Amino acid sequence: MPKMSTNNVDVIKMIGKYLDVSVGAVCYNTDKVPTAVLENKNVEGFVTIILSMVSKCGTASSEEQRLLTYQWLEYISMFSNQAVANSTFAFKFLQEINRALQSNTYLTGQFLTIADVALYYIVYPLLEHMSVAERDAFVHLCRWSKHIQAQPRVCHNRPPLPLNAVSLSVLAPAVH
Amino acid sequence: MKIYTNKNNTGTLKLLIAANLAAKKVEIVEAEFEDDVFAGPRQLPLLEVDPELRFFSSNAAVQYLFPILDMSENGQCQQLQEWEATRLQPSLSAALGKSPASDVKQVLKSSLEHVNGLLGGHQYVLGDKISAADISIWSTLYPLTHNDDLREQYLKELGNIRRWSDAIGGAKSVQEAVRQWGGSPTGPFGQISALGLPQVANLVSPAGSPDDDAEVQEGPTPEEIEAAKEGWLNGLSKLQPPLKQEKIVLPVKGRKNVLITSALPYVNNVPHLGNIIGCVLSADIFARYCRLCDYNTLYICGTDEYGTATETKALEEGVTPKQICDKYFEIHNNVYRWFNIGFDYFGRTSTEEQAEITQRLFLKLNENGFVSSQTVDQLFCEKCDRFLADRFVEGTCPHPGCGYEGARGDQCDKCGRLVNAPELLQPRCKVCAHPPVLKPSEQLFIELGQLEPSLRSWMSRWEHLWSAPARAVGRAWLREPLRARALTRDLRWGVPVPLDGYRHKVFYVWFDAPIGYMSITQCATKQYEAWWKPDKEYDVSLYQFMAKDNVPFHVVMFPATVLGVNEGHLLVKHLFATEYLNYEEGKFSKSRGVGVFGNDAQDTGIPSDVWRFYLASIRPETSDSSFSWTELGTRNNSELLNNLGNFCHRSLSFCSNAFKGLIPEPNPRRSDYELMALVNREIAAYVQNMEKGRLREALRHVLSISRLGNQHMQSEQPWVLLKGSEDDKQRGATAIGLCCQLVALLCALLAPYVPDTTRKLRGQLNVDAEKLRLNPENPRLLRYLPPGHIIGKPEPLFVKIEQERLEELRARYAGTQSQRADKKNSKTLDIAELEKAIAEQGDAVRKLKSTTKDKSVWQPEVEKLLELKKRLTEAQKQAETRPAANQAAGDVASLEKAIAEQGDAVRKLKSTTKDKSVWQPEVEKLLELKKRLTEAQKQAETRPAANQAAGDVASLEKAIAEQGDKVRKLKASTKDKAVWQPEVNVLLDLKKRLQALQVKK
Repeated sequence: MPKMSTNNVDVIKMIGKYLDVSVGAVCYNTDKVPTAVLENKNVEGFVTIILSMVSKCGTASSEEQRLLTYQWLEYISMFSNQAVANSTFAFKFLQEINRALQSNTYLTGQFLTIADVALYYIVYPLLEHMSVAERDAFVHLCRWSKHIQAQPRVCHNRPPLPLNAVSLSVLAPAVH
Repeated sequence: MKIYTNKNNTGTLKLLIAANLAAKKVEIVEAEFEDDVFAGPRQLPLLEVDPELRFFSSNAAVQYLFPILDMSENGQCQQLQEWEATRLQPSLSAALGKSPASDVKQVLKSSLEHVNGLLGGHQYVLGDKISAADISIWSTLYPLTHNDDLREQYLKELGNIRRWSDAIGGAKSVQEAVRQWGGSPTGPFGQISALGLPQVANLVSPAGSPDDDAEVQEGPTPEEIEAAKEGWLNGLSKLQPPLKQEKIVLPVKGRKNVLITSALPYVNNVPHLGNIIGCVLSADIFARYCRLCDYNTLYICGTDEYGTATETKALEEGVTPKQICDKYFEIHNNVYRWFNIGFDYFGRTSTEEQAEITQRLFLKLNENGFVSSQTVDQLFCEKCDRFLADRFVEGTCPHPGCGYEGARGDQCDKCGRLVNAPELLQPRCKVCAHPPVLKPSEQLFIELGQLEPSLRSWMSRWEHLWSAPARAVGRAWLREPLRARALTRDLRWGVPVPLDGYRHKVFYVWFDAPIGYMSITQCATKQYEAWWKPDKEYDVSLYQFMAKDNVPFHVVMFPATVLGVNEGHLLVKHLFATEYLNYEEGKFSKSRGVGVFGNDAQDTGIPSDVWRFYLASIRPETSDSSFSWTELGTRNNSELLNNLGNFCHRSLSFCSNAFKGLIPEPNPRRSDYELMALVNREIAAYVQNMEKGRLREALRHVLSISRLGNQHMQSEQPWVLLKGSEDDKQRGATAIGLCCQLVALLCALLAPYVPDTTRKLRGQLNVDAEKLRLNPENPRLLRYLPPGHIIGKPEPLFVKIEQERLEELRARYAGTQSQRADKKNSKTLDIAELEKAIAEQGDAVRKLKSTTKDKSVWQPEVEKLLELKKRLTEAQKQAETRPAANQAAGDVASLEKAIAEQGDAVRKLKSTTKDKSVWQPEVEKLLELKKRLTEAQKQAETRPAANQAAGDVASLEKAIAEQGDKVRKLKASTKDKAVWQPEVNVLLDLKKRLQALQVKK
């Protein structure tokens, strides 16, 4: 069964699967910072490892797009641990993200980036434990999650979150 | 480009330096987190290149303003920036805040050493060229490098940083940036994110923001700490004296007397989870809470038994209505008993007491002039030869704009408004679908219109004490003037009307059912008026629990009756109605049998406490909520098991192992009192929410207490302390003592929700329920376990529910009850029967498709067909594997031998002990063996027949030839694949079977 919460190392591993890049061993160093070895180089930090994996895939993106992706990953890296550990904080964290998704299809605008996938993995257990009523506060986030999980590559073995399609598309239509 | 920023934010300094180095022009705009400038996370500074391109991360903004051309260094620069954002900046801000913890300073120091190391032998952090990382780190360290005290404190031995800092600070463009920034190195500093400071991963003490705003929970005030101390030292002695539990509960002078009712469930069906949490369980949790507070509490409920539905059902089953009620009363009673609903009395409405009180109230109402009579044209079904009760007429909703076709004669399920049965458009008898005719009949009415003023003034006075759904329904009802409402019906099963000319009629159920609360009180106490017409000197309050659909009867009809009778009867004070609970993504439905019903819950093997806990935690308090199997599992595993269960078990085990169960004498220090103060906040919130009937909210606060306890345990690490110095040992003992007291507190607060578990926990704590009480006037942590107390044996309280189990249950309870029953039966269908069914269904589908193009018409039939085929494949698979299974099951002879042996074993065991738990498992083994024997015997008989049914080669070949012809013909006549595909499949199947046979031979 999926674990109750997803820590940053789990997210990195899942992204490795998603990108089909072998990450090798990923663990926390003594400072509890995720650490991996890529091409014989020690890579530290959630954002850095993920971006290294992406560059290993060779998908090119504009400099702007890369920075926007960076800033979202940095945001996740700053706050996701706390959101996973504390439900009151999680609520505030998700509110911030919900606001961002109000006017954008994806986090960085109109294109799916690795930041979306990473955030989805963080958000999944948080949304999973909410009742339908609680999710109401996050319609944009739910609409976005539905969008992300529609990609089979994202889900691995986990079932997609049951997000009510009818009310979502009415309340929070995708922005294009 | 614009930079939005608050005052003295070092992040902004980064942006200005980068812009100056790159010679880009920027404009500074002042902003706060409350301002409406954010389209995403509220972080400052915010760089707006254009409305479409904004950076809320100062590090991303720096990279944008000051791009690095050397791509090889890219990874390193980002790595450092991430490190700056997640470690350096938060630990520095925390260290500069008020009274920083020592570990925070430690983290900052090691971070600074890291930077110092990077600068060894290099001019800049990444080599000999300045990079975005230099800009970010330099700006963040600005308060350290430019404040003499801090520079002395932190950078004295870090020469590389000092050199690097001075070199960068000396650059002209940097000096210009600092001037534009206009900040001060002594703070206070602008907050970077609305979420506060990121927590540094390996720190135990949370990093407090230097300027915590109101959003972040404040630490306890000195007053709170004083109160916590007082409660700890003297609270127990100030607890109210315990209430003596009388056998018959009657109001007590000088006490708070609480009469609790839960909506009377209609007797005619099995309650589902939505009914249970909506009424009886909510009321039970509240009643248990009241007893915890020593309120004198009477909780009553019962089955609502009169009405047409019962009468009709009795006709159907060929028994009397009374017999139907007896049967279902038992079902209800058992379900509620399993859920541990602690009624003081669970009665029924078909009693003499009920008739007596109803008739008395009616006569008084009549005497007071609120009853009128009218001849009404009533719907009469000539085919059934009876007047049709409202619920037995269906038709189109007469309300303009609704037009729902399935409206009932009393209410429209779609628009929720009441319906007068004869006003239904296109009415039909629900039993025979025959259109009814109107026939005159004289009935009595209550003049609700005349009672409206007094009803309104009562409602406006008390509605503030009701839950939001109750208020909403009440107000909606008074939006239109109230009309007279029929009191009597032409039926037999009910309370007879005690008035000449009407004696062959009975009262409408809506009128007599709420009076059931009084009659059930009478059955319970023999003095119902002590509760319902209390003496002015007694403080008696009526609390009523129900789901939203029952509200009109409790805020309009019943109060109007009571006001019309005008004898000073008790009216509801707190009305706690809930919204609806949905099942997974759909609706619970009694009539269609969708969802989980009371007896199903029992069959799952999941303890009733887990159900109670889960249902309370999704109680539809403010809006509809949904039942989900997954959530049931996660709540059990994460909250009950990991949070609560773990805390209780760890605390008690520690006490048991390290102190032989003797609660260590705590010697609380200030930090312990701080913890108590935080716990007291949660207890206060628990009481406040409970008193307002917000049971779900209250439960959340209980869990917070256990979370605080876990955190305390984690940060104190008593397992380390107990091995340390004398002082450490004392601290460790205090931590464990305090945690055990918190367990006792949790045991008290949880008792309303999970009574079985708390009973077990009380055993482990070795305390009586009477000790674990709450003072609602001054709720706080008390020293429940006295000095010298010895606890019992700690045991785990909860069991994990595995995901697979939940999947299994979800599958088992999918669809409607009748579908589930089909599924069960279908297992016994053999291959031949299935094939026949498939052929028939295939015909049906073809016919349908030929008559209509409306997919919605034939789709369901197609699905049935597909379902049948699936089952066929499964059945065939099973048929193949069965012979092997038979062998494994053993032959009849060996089973008989095993049974004889097991039987002996059981007899011996039973003769040695009376403890059922000892011999029960062995008995079960025996029964299982016997079952297998019967099966084996059956199979032995049927096996030859089954072989024949599989058919021989010749007949199969013939069938294939025929089927082949059929397919060819079909394909020639139509191109619709959906039509011929099933036949093709049949053909392929036949061929496969033939092949299989040939291979065997």
